[in-house]
Amino acid sequence: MSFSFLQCKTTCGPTLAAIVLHFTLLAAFGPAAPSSASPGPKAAKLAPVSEATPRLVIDMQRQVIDVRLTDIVLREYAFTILDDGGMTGGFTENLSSPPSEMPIVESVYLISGAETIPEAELRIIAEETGLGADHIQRFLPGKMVLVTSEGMRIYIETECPTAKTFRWQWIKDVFGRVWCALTGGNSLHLSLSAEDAMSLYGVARSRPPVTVKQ
Amino acid sequence: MRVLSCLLFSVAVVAVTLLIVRRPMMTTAVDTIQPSEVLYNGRITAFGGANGDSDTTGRRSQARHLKGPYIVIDRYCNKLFLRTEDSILLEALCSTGSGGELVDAPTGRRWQFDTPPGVFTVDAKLTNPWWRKPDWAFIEEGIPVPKNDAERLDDQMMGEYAIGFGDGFFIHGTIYERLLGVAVTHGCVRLGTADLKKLYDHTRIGTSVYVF
Repeated sequence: MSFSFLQCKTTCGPTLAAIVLHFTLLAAFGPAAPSSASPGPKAAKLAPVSEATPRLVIDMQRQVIDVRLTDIVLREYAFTILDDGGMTGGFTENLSSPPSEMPIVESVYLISGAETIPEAELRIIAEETGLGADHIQRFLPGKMVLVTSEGMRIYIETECPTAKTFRWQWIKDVFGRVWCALTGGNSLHLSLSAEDAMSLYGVARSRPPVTVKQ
Repeated sequence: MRVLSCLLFSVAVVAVTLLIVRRPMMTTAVDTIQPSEVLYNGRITAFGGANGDSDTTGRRSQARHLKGPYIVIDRYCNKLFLRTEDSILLEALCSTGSGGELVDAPTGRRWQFDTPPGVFTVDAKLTNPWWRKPDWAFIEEGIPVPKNDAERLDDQMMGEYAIGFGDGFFIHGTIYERLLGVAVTHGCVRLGTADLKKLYDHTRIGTSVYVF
């Protein structure tokens, strides 16, 4: 009995450790966590629009992105078109009657950004309030990408001078651009102010519906 | 000796009893508290203070959205706007809910400190508001929750004005103005003194509040 137990211990132990290590590595370096970029289930590609859901309206004529809630304009982000990607309007905007379903922002990520709260100050605030630094810190985007459930990629660039590149997100973006080019996906390149881009990043994280108004 | 021991024991019992049931001195301000009509349960409880000004008539018409300027609260940027469709009347740095969670281990009670997203209306406007601290404010500091209501009252924390927008959430002042622009609150929205005054003067009961 004891011999069998010992035998089991010497073989099962390393195997179990390997399995645990495998899943740990997968969790640490696997696909992006939902908090930053959340590819939802395929069934959630289109979102029912409700009065409580803010939505993004990209107005190509006025060159403004509106954040709207129940048709009220909450914020407006003026933009400059860097490259319209030959867009011919994959989306149509219907303001007269609420559409039942719209594509959503499926993921958003920063390729580069600058912290708005310096590290030293963040530590003090975190200690005083007992909150995690992640909860408190905000980023001024240098470059960011919104990816919609219809496969449209919206690249945003700002004037933020102190933005640092996030290596993994940059690599992810390179693959994304290649894939978009190969599959003929629509893309749009815009320039926004860093402050507006920061607000847009915050809205986009809630995966709002998005439309383009030609 | 035995008699002395009994006497000392009796004195000790009486002293302990008095300590437990002791009532603090009531101040004039506490005596002028308006009763439950302006008391909100939950996250913040605020009511008219010594000056007594308050307007809660809007509570009876919470669903009514007035036309005109409306308030927008951007939680990610920690900014508050008073605006119309065409123009921005006030842009202010604020502090919104931290998103943190507090758990009281002995009882298992939990609190989530978010400023809720959605569409609201202003349903109260208060001047010189007092804060009746809820249980979490003591639990967070590791202080025993007082049994006496008077020990919960604070007349400094909320500043000079408070604007309620539903379910115990307020836009109010703060003694921590250096933290404006950072999401550190327990759900309410804090504004600086000057911006709060401007907002209070241009807001009515029924003004729409949009939080995203």
